[in-house]
Amino acid sequence: MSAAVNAGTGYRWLVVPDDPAVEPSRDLVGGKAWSLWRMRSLGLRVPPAFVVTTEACAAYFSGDGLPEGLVDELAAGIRLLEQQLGRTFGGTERPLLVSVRSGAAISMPGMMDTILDLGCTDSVEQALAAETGDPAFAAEVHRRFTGFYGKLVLGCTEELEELPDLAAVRETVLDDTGETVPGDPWAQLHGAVASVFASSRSRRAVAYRRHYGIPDDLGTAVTVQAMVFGNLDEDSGTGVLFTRNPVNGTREPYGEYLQQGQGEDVVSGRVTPKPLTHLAERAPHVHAELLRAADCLDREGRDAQDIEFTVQHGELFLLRTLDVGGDKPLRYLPTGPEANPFLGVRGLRLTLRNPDLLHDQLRAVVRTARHTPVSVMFPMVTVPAELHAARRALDRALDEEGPADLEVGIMIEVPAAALTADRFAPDVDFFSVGTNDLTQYVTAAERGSPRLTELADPLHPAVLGLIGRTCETGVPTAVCGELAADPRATGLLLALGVRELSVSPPAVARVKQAVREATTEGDLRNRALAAPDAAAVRALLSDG
Amino acid sequence: MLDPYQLTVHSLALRQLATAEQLAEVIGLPPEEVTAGLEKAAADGAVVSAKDKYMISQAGRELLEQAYPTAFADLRGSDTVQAAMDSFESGVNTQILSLTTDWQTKEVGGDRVPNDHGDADYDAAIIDKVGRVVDKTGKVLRPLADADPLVDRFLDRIGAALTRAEGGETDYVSGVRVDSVHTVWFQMHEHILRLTGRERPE
Repeated sequence: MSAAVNAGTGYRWLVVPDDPAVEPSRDLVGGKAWSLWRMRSLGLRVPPAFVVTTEACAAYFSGDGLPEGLVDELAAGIRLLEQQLGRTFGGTERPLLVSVRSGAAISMPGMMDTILDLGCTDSVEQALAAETGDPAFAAEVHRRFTGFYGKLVLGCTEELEELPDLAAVRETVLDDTGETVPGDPWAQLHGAVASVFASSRSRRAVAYRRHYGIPDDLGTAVTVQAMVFGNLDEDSGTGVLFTRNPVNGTREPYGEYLQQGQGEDVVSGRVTPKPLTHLAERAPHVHAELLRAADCLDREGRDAQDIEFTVQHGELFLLRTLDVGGDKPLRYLPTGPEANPFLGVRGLRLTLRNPDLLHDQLRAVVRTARHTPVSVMFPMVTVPAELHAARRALDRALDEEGPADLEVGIMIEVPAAALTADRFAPDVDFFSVGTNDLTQYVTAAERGSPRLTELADPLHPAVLGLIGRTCETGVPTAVCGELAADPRATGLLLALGVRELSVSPPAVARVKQAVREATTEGDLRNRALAAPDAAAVRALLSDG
Repeated sequence: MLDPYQLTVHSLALRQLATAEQLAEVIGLPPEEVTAGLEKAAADGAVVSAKDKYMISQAGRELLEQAYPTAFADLRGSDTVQAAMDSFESGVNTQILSLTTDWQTKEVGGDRVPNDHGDADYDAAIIDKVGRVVDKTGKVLRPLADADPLVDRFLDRIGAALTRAEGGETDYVSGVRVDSVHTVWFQMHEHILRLTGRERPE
């Protein structure tokens, strides 16, 4: 695996997404860097960045350590950021700090979180203190960076965030891991890039890909982006902007600004920010530029935007905007308070309420489907209208990304969907019965509760009846969940018409054996369905 | 190394009252071999059978106490292994126990009450942290894993439980009826205590 040197850029492992006319390949640079390019192509200023491509990640795994030539290209990439900002990486005057983050074409859990303030050392801390006139801020940057690196690269599992100072963080990291954060900024950068690569093969990332049918060799890119500071002088500051009024949703910008401050200052409560009008009074041209950018993003994203920005020496940088780009982890979506989350906005209900997110996810699925067979399965569907909406979103993704061969199915875990499965049948290629959730919904008993174990049993005849009813539609039906992995139930599931069992790897051999031995006598099916409760079905299965 | 017969009896010291199939899963031997070993052990009086389940007897415990010093002489004499155990006990093991407590109970207004699992973010943060501790355990126990193949098997089973917990099967965090992270962790802990001739710290 070796990438060719790009004749246009001269790089083999890097992409610099700074040309509005050249859209970078999302497979090569990941979703986050693609979003940076998109903001840039809309004429918005973001802190300068470069990307180590997914090809470098593949080369990392096929060889031993960082691929040949990458160390030199990382130095070249850093030089670019230095030139644009007039700062020096590891410098004793006007030091450059960077953030390092993972970015795959499809975002997934298990990948390394972002490291901020990389490049911080003892001498850099001094330089930053001198430049900002705020030694406490410089010490805080150093403390936080050491915590990020200790946790994410060195794997420290002690809590570091709450520790009072750098010395305490260093001591805890050393005690816990036997290692120290490198004092050389380049060693920090190399260590962080290698850790991001390695995280794409972490147990959790591998399990996630397997579960969602994402190709296993899909690595990650690494985005290295300059940190910008809002506390350098009076012409610097930091703030947030919402493009809609949070109370009534009207399109009127609303936000806060902290002159000569960093985001951390606001978060820590050290200072209280002022309304945005404060920026308008101090720097009307920056304020106007910000409103233009917000308006542009709001129109482009067709939705409200939540924008974080920093002004450095009178120059506006957009840091992060939610609802733009496709890398927003689901868990951060505000769902609003719910009395009973188990019966609330989850599964497809959640994604349909966040059309941009669904759209981005489906586009990623379609791109994957071009080189590998993919099945799309929508969870928590209750009525056909939800499926129709999801299919329309998929059609839109296919229009934009080009044709791909895809199978579409739904999870059956809501009893209403099982009872009306025939009405979903014309629009799906398969059903997959999620027996864990279905059992809880049918029996109104939580599986995790030790006192309800007997009630929350997937072998309850009502659950079996719903599985049978789903199979009767003639649509190929799979079963997943605890029941699928139970070899005693295999014969019964086959008798009900189930054609596929999804089980975790350790259970495969046992279930295969059970499938081979299964005799599909029609009587077992009828006797199980006629049983009064799960215990009776279990007795039936151990007799047979 | 324990021979397969000793290993079968040993498995009942890690998992009390279990079927041959459950024990085979713990030690990674073919179920037929485990069944044969258990039948022999029952005849020898080293285990007691009750229906399809087995328990270790006092004679079985003595058999193991005699076998360990020879079987694990190298491990017990290794400073690296002893240092790894010290680190395991004071580090990751303590962290897993405290995470299990956090999973089962929650602090509300100064009192610990059962976790009703109504706060998805709270639960997700714990599962995430368990994942990082488990990753680190692989590094901490490396000297033991290099000397004893079962250690990696335990780590794989813990990883499999964690993957299920991450997939939403939350009883795989600390549930006692399933091979949860906590269940397998407990077995692994008992195993490595026996390997190294240590007592469970209180």
